[in-house]
Amino acid sequence: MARPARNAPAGRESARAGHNLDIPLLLRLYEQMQLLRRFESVAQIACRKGETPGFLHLYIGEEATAVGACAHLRPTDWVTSTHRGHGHALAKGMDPNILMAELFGKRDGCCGGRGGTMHLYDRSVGLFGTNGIVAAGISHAVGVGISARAQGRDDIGVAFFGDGATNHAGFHESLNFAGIQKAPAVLVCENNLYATATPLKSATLNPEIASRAAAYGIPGIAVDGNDVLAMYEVMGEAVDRARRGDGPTLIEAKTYRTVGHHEGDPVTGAYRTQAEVDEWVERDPIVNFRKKLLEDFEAAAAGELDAVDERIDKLVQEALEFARNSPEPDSSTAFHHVFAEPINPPDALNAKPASGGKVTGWLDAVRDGIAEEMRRNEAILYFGEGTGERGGTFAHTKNLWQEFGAERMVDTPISEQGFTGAAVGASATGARTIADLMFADFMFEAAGQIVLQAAKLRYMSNNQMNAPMVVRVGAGAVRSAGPHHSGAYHPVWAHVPGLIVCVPSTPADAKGLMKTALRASDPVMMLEMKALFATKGEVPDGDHLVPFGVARIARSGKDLTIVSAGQLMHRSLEAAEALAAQGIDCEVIDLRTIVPLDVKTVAESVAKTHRLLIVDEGWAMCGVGAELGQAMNEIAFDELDAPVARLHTEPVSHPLAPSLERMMLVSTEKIIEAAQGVMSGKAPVPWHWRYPGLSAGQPSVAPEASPQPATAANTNMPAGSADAKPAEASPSRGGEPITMPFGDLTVSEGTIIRWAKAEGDDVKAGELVAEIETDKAVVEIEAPIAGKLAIEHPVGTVVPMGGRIGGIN
Amino acid sequence: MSLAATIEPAPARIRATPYARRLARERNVPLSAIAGTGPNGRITGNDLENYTAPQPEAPAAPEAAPSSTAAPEKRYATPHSAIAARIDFAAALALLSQIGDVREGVAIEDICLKAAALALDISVLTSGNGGILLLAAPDDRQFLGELRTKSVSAIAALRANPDEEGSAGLAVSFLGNPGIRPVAARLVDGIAARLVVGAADRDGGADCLLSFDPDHIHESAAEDFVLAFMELVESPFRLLV
Repeated sequence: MARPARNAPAGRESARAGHNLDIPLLLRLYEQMQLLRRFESVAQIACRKGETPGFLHLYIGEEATAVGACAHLRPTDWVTSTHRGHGHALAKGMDPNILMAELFGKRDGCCGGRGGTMHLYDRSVGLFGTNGIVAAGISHAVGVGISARAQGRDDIGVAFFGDGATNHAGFHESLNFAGIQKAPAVLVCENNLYATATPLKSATLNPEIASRAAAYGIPGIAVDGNDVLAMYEVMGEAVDRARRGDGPTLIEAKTYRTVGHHEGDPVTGAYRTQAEVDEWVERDPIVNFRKKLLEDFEAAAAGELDAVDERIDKLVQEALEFARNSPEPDSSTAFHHVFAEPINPPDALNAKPASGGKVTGWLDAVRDGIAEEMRRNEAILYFGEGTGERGGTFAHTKNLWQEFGAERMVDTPISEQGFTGAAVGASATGARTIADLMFADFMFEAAGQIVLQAAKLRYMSNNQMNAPMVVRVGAGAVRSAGPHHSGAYHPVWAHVPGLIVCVPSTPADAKGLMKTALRASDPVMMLEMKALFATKGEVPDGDHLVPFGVARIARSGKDLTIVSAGQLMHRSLEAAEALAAQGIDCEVIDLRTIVPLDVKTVAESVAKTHRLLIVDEGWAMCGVGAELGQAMNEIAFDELDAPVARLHTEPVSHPLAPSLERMMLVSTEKIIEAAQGVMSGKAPVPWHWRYPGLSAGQPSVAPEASPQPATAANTNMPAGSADAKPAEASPSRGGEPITMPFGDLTVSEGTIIRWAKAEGDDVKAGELVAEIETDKAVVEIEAPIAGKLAIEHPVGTVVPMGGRIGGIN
Repeated sequence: MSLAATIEPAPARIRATPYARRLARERNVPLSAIAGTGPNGRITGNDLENYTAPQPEAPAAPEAAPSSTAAPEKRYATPHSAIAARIDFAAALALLSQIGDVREGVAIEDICLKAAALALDISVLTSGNGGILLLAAPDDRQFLGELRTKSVSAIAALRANPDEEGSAGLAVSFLGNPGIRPVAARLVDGIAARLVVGAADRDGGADCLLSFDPDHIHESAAEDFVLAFMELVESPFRLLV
């Protein structure tokens, strides 16, 4: 068994000096911890009753950590949190009413019911978010600190995370990046000894988490996370250090949850013993602090603390009522807050289409655009690998470091996840960021931060937060760059609600879209085709912005519409010239952005030509061709005089050998051939469906859908209990119901194995009345109130989650 | 004779692009009249562009043939009343295009006749002393297929009391060219009302005029009839089920 550290090994004496403890502060710490505890207890009951959709991870037992740490924080500091985050939210100052309502999925919740327990945001108190993804918030806190510093404030970012996160790249990349950047951040690991059910000692050979800080050259300190004063002292020094600009500190708070991993998970389960839980209950942070207040400090009389408890009880009860009385969110708002509305910044909406201007190379044009925006907005930060003093792998950030300095042109370690997450955190808190990932292929190293955090931030926070950041990459095939440096992947990002995806084809558009992206309010994936880096074009003078979602007609024609983007736009134009010589007059449309997708311009063109060929560098499967083809099916069906055709990169990895690569890539010749096919009524057929899932002659039988919610009665008998009878889900009978509690999402039912009391017995509130066995554990059912027991289902009955088994009269 | 031989093969589905179907609909050209030049004989927009319609026959005389059933000899004097409505034929033309895939010769006139017949049933365009019969269609129009059968039975159903005193006829006639709006139509012997249907323009709309004898038909009944006719033409599936 892992031994809890009773005493923090170092740093306490020096910390104590700087932070005087007075009685009002002590009472405030007590009250805060009590708020966290009582709130969770009430939430626990609501969860068991099925009042909260989804499931909860309760903070019971760990209160001293959040309260001791957050006591030092201002509303303008930001906290990033975990899946077990109600405590952090309350400790950071969130109104319990809107927190409870959010757990209930109600309109008045802190995120309007969009986020819920693991996605709590509150800009007003500096809660960046609880988070369903392990380790994801650490980099956000680092970015928050860098953002505050760039804006000239001494606010800091504080990340809470569990011991499980310390074996995740998000932890290592973030600590390293925070260290080298001297980021104003404090990184608080709540080591409760288990990552869900995996003991820390079986997940690493170095379970002394604080010692890991040494790997990154930053201070690391372990502290008794159940001792609110110890936590307060250690945190005080770390916060001072961060605000002073001396950099981040790793704090390991050794603590314990005295409840299951989530509500419905048994308290002990298969991974820890009752004796261990009992030992930690003895070390309960609130009980022990109360004792200390009364006996050691003589800071208060017992009656005073009782009054505090009563006040908190009342507060929490009010929160429960508030949540219950709050209406459901209006379903008509379900589609709001995916993007800013309008999606384009005003400057881009007002921009007049411009042409002409000085002939400029691609990389210089985009670099100029970035420099113009960085001069215009001092809060723009550029994170990239080698993009600082060295000016970028492609010389694409030449001279920016010299002009804007190392604090804004941040040279990063090769930690795509870490610095992209920091870009999310910084952009959401007043800065704007470019995360330069060099090659499109490397975006997958940061995919979690892009898809799960940046893209969803606006929606799940109910429009409180957004991530105005640009993910910039060189994309696409060029000269045998091989399997790991050739991909485009734009359809992958286009699939995700909340991401803007740009694939420009000219220096003017690349610059104009970059400038728009740096004034927009949502994450923008800026894919610049490497094959175009050496191209030149006229770039309009002045403040040249190109709006998102407006395609450009690159060539006008009447017989066939060819739609493309990026480098293949140029191949399409070449093909159009060759086809014109054959009497086929092609219109070529340059999409410029894949999201938003300008289907209107394409449909208008199809209404003229009645034929459509989509040429795109992505793969065909679920790609741009499929999307646009279906769009025409939906909005321009009566205009189609030939099947919609698509030409994509063949569905293989990019081979090195030029002879193989040529076979794979779209070429001018392939476009000409495909266009001729469309003109004769035949579309080229891609072969990406060639792998049959089942051999021929075996029709697959789709399993019968079972959309029953978990609450519905499940009449399937568990093996070996043929005489068991299913119970009704919720028959209407009298008295206070005794029910099978809601909880674990993987369990849908259980069997009554024992009634501890008999029919008509007098029972007390909280007294054991029955036991229900599920696939995972035996659940003890307690009497909800005192009274006479009415048994409604005998032993052996199978009870669905939430099902009633009896009542108390 | 074998059983199989008695079953006509199902008419082959006409292959045509969505755009070709749209053109055919707009131009009132039956797809069956066109030979497709695309893959698998598919009719394309070009085939429609290149199609020359056979010289149309002279438009049917606006004068309707009187019914063979006994109708009272009565001459209705002009002037009479008239009301008009603009009707959207787009849905009816779309339905025709689908019918055209499986059977030739069904035309917009068939739909209008059936709609008129059913509208009579719905609106009871009648005076106090007798029913009114759907009497006439252009002579060159043949009822065909299911539509025809149902139209006839609907008309027959109206002839509950063909010999009854006071029965009078409704004549239906059709204008040949889009853009021409009917504004007046003369009533002739034995005819209490006359419906003149305009030709649909590019948007599918056409003016329709109901000329009627105000002594015989109340104005509100005439309105009801025109509305019922409009609803049936605009939701033409109701004519089939």
